[in-house]
Parts: sequence; C-alpha cells; structure tokens
Amino acid sequence: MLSEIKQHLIKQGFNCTTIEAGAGERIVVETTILNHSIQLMMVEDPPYYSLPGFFLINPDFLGRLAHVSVHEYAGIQIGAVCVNAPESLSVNFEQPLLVVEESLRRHISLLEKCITNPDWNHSELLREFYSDWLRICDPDSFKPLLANIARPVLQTLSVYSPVNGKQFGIESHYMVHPADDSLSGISDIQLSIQKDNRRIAGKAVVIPIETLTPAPKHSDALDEWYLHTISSLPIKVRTELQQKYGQWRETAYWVVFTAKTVNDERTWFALKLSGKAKKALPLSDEKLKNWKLEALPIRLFNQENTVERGGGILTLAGKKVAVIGVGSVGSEIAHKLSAAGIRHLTLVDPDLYEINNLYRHILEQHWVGAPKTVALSVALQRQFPWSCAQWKLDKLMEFARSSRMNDFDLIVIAIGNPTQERLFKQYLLDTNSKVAVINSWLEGYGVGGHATLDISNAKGCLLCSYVCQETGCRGLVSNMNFIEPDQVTMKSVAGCGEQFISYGAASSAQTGVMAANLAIRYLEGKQTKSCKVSWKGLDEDAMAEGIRLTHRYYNFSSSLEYLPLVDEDCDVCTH
Amino acid sequence: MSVQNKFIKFHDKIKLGREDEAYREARAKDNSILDELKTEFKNAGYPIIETFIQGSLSMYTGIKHPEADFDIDRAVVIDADSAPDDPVEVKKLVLKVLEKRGFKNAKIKKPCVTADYMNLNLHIDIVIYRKRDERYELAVGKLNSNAENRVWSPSEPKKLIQHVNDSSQYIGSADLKIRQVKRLVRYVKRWRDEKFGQNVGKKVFSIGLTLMLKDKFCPSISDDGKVSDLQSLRDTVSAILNANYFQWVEDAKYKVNVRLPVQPYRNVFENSSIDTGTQLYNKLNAMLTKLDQALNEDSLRKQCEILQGLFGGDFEVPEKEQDSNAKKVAYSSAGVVGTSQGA
Repeated sequence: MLSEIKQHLIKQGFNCTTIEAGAGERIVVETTILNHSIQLMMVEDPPYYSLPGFFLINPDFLGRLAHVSVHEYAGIQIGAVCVNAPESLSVNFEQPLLVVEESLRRHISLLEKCITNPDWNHSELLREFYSDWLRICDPDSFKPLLANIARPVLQTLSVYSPVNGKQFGIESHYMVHPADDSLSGISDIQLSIQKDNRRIAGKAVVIPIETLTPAPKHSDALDEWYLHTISSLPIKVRTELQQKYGQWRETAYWVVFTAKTVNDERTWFALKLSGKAKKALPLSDEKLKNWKLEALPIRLFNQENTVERGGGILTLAGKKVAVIGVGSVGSEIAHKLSAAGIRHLTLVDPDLYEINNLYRHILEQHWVGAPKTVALSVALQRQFPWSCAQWKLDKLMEFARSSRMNDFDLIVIAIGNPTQERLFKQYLLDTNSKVAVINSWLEGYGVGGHATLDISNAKGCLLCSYVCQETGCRGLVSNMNFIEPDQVTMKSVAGCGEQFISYGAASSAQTGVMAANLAIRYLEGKQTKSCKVSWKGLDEDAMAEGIRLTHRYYNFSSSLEYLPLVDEDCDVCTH
Repeated sequence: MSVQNKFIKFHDKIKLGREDEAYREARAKDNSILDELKTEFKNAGYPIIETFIQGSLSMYTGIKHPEADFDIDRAVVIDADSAPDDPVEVKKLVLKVLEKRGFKNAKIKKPCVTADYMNLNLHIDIVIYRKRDERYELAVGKLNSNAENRVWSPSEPKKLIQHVNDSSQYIGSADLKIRQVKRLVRYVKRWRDEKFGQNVGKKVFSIGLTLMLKDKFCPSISDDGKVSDLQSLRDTVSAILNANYFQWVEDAKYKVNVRLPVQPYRNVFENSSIDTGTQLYNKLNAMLTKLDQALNEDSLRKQCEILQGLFGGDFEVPEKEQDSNAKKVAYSSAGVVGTSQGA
C-alpha cells in the first residue's frame, strides 16, 4: 500500500522518497516554502478514518509555528501539524490514495500560511494559546482546576481541595471559589463547602494580562515564560501584586492568568507554584529559584461561562417563569428552561410522584412519594448550579388566586386539562392580567402534541384555539387537536382512578421541548406574536385502537412551525 | 365574525329534527297513530314487526317550511309470511285508521297512504313493507289499481337512509364532514322553497336534491380545520352541474335524472317534466354565480346580502359591517365534550 501511495503522490507531482524511521519505512515528501526546504513524513498507514498526519521533520529552524507541536520521534525532532480543526470531515475511507493526497495538500497549505504570513501565525498562536498550554500540562493532572471567577481583575481567592475519596463530580476537583451568592444553596460547590468537608488548600491569585505571549513550547520553558509575563505586567499591577498580595506566606500558589486572545475572546489558564517553605508569591528570577512550576488545565466555572458553553442564554437568567403542572410534559419544560439559563422558575403542582410516573418522567425513582414540585426543584438545582427553582403545591386556580400573575414574565401551563386552562384564561381576562401564557398538551397514541403562546397585547389567545371551527362559537376542545373529540381515549388497567392516556416518554419529551423552545423564543424577544405550534406523529397506534383522527391531522404538514393563533371568530381577539 | 357563523345561525333557524320543539305535536300524533296502526294490523292478522322513520327526519335533513305543513314519514313493516298477497289490503287498514281519526284528504297513493291533519299543519305519509329475512318489499298499488299494479316491490329503504348518513368515505373529521353535507342539503332545500313556485318546487323532490348533494359533496375544511359551508356549497353545486344529472333535450332544455343508489334503482325524477329539469338547471347555475360573487366579496355585510338573496330572510344580514351581535359571546351548545388532551 505504501508503494501505491508513493506512486500516486509522485503522479500528482509531489517529490516523494522513503526513509527508515521507527517501526519501518515511511514516505517523506519534500517541498519548498519561502525558500525553506520542508520535509513532511507520513506517519499513518491505511485504513484512514480521519486525515492521516504528516510530521514536519526538524521544524525548529522555522521558528514557532501555529498549529505545530514539537515532539521527538525515533530520535528526530518532529512537528505534529494539526489540520483537522475546525471542520468536521467525512473521510472517503474507500479511497485511501485520495485521502492521503488531500491531507498532504492541507498540511502544505497550512504551513505556507504560517511561514509566509507572520502576523496570521502570531494571531493563531494566541488563538490556540490554551491548547498549547494543555500540551505542557502534566498528563496525569487531567482534572482541571475549577475556577468560579466572575471578573478578570487582579484578586485573590481561596482554593479548596477535592473531597476525600471523591473520584467523580465537582467535588473531585480543586476549586477556586469566591463567595458567589447566586449559586444554588444545594449545588455541589455550596454543599461541599457548607458540609465543611473541603479544606482550603491555599490561595489563588488571579492576574489579568494585557499583552499575551504565545504559550511555551515545553514545560522546561515555563519559568522563563512566567518571569517574562510577570515582568511585562504594567507597573501598577506589579506594585499591587507586591504590596497587597506579597505579604502572605504560602507553600503553594495557584496563579490564574487571563488575557484576551483574538477577536476579543478571553482565555484563562493556570499554573501552580510549589515551594518547600512558606514564602511570598515569587515575582523575580531570584525568588523563583526555590519554586516548582507546573502548568494546570483550568475550567472556568462561573455562571457566564458555564451557561453559555452549555448553550444557555445569559439574558434569561433574570426572567421569572411559572410552570404549572410538572408531569411528564411540564417537568421536561422546566428542565429545558433551566438548561436555557432561566434561574427563577416557580414550579406549581399538587401531585405526588408515583411509581406509575417513572417511565415517562425525568425524576429519579428515589423521589417516589414526594411532591413532584419539591423533587423537581431539588433535581434542577442539583443539575444546574445557578438554578433557584421554587415550588408550590397549588392547583392552577389556587395559584392564580394566591399569586400576582403580572410578576411573571411568562406562565407555562402543562396540565392537560382544557376546562381549567380555559377557566384560567377567563380569570386573566377578568383581572386584566397582562402576563404571557403558553399552554402545552399532548394527545395519546403518539399522534402529536401542541402549544399555544398567548401574548396579551397581541392578536391571538388561548380561546382562539378553542373556537369551534364549524360554528365559530367558543368550543370545549382545542381546534388544534389531532384526535376527534368524544371518544374513549383513556386506558384503564384497574378501573376508576387508574385511567391514563396512552403515550410514551418520547411523546411527552417532544411536546415539552417544543413548548420550551417557544418559551425561550418569547423570553428572548424573538417571538412577538401570539402563535401556535404542533408536532405530528404517526397514526398507526391510534388506528390499531380504532381512534378517529381529525381533518387537521391528515392535512397537517407544518410540524414545529409557528403558525398564527388568531381566529376570526374569537370573541376576545376580534373585538 | 365569519360568514360561516352566519351560515350556522341560518342553519339553526331552518333545521327541523324529530326531537325539536316545533315538531312536538307532529311527533305526538305520529306516536298515537302508530299505536292505533299496531292494534289495527294485529287485529287483522298482520302484526307490525318493525317500524321506522323515513324521509328527511331519518336523514337529518329536515327543514321548517315557512308555509307548508310538517311531514310525518312513517314506515311500518309486517312479516312476509303473514302478509296478504294484495298489498292494497293492508293499505286499506291504514286508510281506515286515518279516516277514523278525522284526517282530511286521506287517500291511498301508489307507494303510500297519505293524509292531512284537520286542525294542524301536518301532512302524513305512511308506507308499508313486508319483510323476509333482511329483504323489504314495498306495498304498491292504489284502490283502483288492477291486479298487475298491486305488487310487493323490492325496496331498500334502510339502505337508502344509510347511504345518505354514511360518512365512512371521509378521511379525518368524518362527523364534521357528514354534518356539512346535511347542512348543504338543508340550505338547498330552503333555496328551492324560496326560488321555485309552489307547483314546480313540489316536483324538485328533496330526495333528488339530497342524493345529488351527498354524491357530489365537496367538503371545505381548511388544513387547519376551519369549516366553510359557502365554499363547500359552491364547489358541490359546481360538481352537480358538471356531473351527468342534467340531460340535454333540446336548445337550453334539460331533463333531470337522479337514480336511487339502492333497490329499485329508479330515477327519482322519472316522471318529471322538462320544465322542472330546465328550471332546476338554470337556477342552480344562477346560484353558482351568486355563490362565486359572495366568495369574492370582502365585506361580510355584502356577502350576507347576496346569500339572503338566495336563501331568504332567515339568512341574517348584519346591520353594520362589524356585527354588534358578535360582541356577545357565543358558547358551545354542548355541556361536556370528551377530549384527548393530556400532559
């Protein structure tokens, strides 16, 4: 195969030879960039499920190149060139010759850019600063230092040791932690500190850097890089470091640096200084001699970074949302709203969690017997450290009468009870409440689910979705439904009180996610008009049960699209 | 407020069901006549084994007529084994009961016995079948018919009712669609009563209109489920005119033919004149034009004016464009409806 690859590359005009290296023969391609003779050695054999790598032989004479990490291989210096990022590639593993050729071209193209454009090369070195930093970290210290730091300013913070015996989870990491009162009191961070089973390991000093220099190539160069960075700090910062923080004496310091790289993006990285005797933070060559420096991986664990990195939206943190009904649909909605970064959820439901709920609810089995809202509030705060979900054991109308509806930015109702939902709408009309409301429900047998968004000052309200499409009067069932009314759709395994609508967790999750998306769009200000949305599933289970479906079901082709909610016959919206 | 809502109000005004208050007296008379018929037939040795309602009330297409009588269409069934060979013999029993009760104009017609109530706007038609297994035969013959014309004629009255009431061919919201058909039948029957003189109107048989509308029905329900009787009526009338019900006879003259879909498969308009066919054809075309005009009209008030022109004063025209009545909340007429909603 090697010979075929070589012949192919020669045929494509590359200058190829073979050399003996390491375990066997390797192809070497020679090319010239900016008068520099470059040798690239192919190091992988087929089959190829990712781009095969080419190592740059003896790269040091080219200076520091972005996307090239230098290692020693079979007694020679080689530079591993990273050409994969940022694209996601689909590799033609059935045509290895083409894959090798494409990989080679990409390697040469990247090196050309690095060598011929020093500014771009420097900017890329800064962009990949943290990746380079990780390369000089001790491979055994794979658990990053967690840093609950909100602002990139000079400051000192406590560092907590991992909890003894913990192998996984937040408690198994070293943690830089200030007093963050926005964290849930039952988040792992707070709990482990409150329980007093984390000891303080030492101090962290946070140092913002104005001018970042590329990360050192080797861990041996860490001292030099540190001193250069400290000496490059503005005098004001150095003075403050010496005067304010130089008074302490410690055997270990965690120095957390932060700097902007390119495009205003901020990076954080850390190193640990360990000494034998308690000393002040070393800031000079002389004082550094007694300290051992170690680069550390770091993971910023503040609300801004954690929420955004997880796809959440910071602007939603302050929104107040009530979720009424935390059954299979409502719990999913509450979960997704919390995941979106909404901290202030009020969960409202009088029901207890039952064994019957287990297979279509997000709560774990140890909550059986507990109020669903209490359990969900705890579960959300345990998963989302900045959630402060509250709970109430009210029914919908009890909640309406005991709370100020206008205090909420949004009310989401997922109780699957059209009578109570219409009653609540009438209550809002009677009390002139202006709060926006989402009603969400699903139908049995996997035929689909629905949600309406009722914005008080926009045309279209919940009652529009109840207008009888035949007569134009206020109806009793939603005109969005896919199952015809007045059929036996409940199943019963043990008679009265044990009836249930047949649907699976996939249906409730899909409905919940759909409603949550609508809620998020509204809260972000992207959805300004009242609307309705449905998803449509297959009819096979309904057909097997002899359930009749509506004209809307058979003609519906707008799953997950936001459609206007207003109905011309709605007595509320059209007058 | 939509024109559909106006159609529904119109429909509520004109519809007549057997359980309606307006039909209460007719229903009571029907019941008491039936009791007497049962006794009379039993005494004569032909016990009634089954009885059912025929006509528009059985098909849920009955309407109130501004002037004409309420109809009773009653079928009584006797066992074929005990039935006399001469069908007129049992029809005489019916005549006897009706005469005894003081009906006027009681007479035996070819397919039925008919009479008018003395002091009420009530017209009664009673038909007699004999039944063997599930097969029905209609008692045909008049008092003065000769033996050849006194026959038990194979007939499928229940299948005819089933045909009109059948919604199995509709996919999705079948009940909604069959209700729309029935409303169209009522609209067109009222249109007939408004647009034809009494003599011709009588000959534009309801069953003929019903069969045409049912068989050429074009439902109009938007993908979102919104119902439009106006569009449905327009499309259905157009489909009727494009079908082969109207047979060209000579220049601008037509004969109308509508066959029963069940035994005896006769042409409902077999004995109708060319004048009846021509008038029906022309008036249906005129209706189609008006319906198109209404559909193209943006103003609800103007739409209603056009429709009032077709259906008469029972079709309301709002005083203003923005109907003040619409401000009153219209609630569902159902107390409770079962739903499939859950969470």
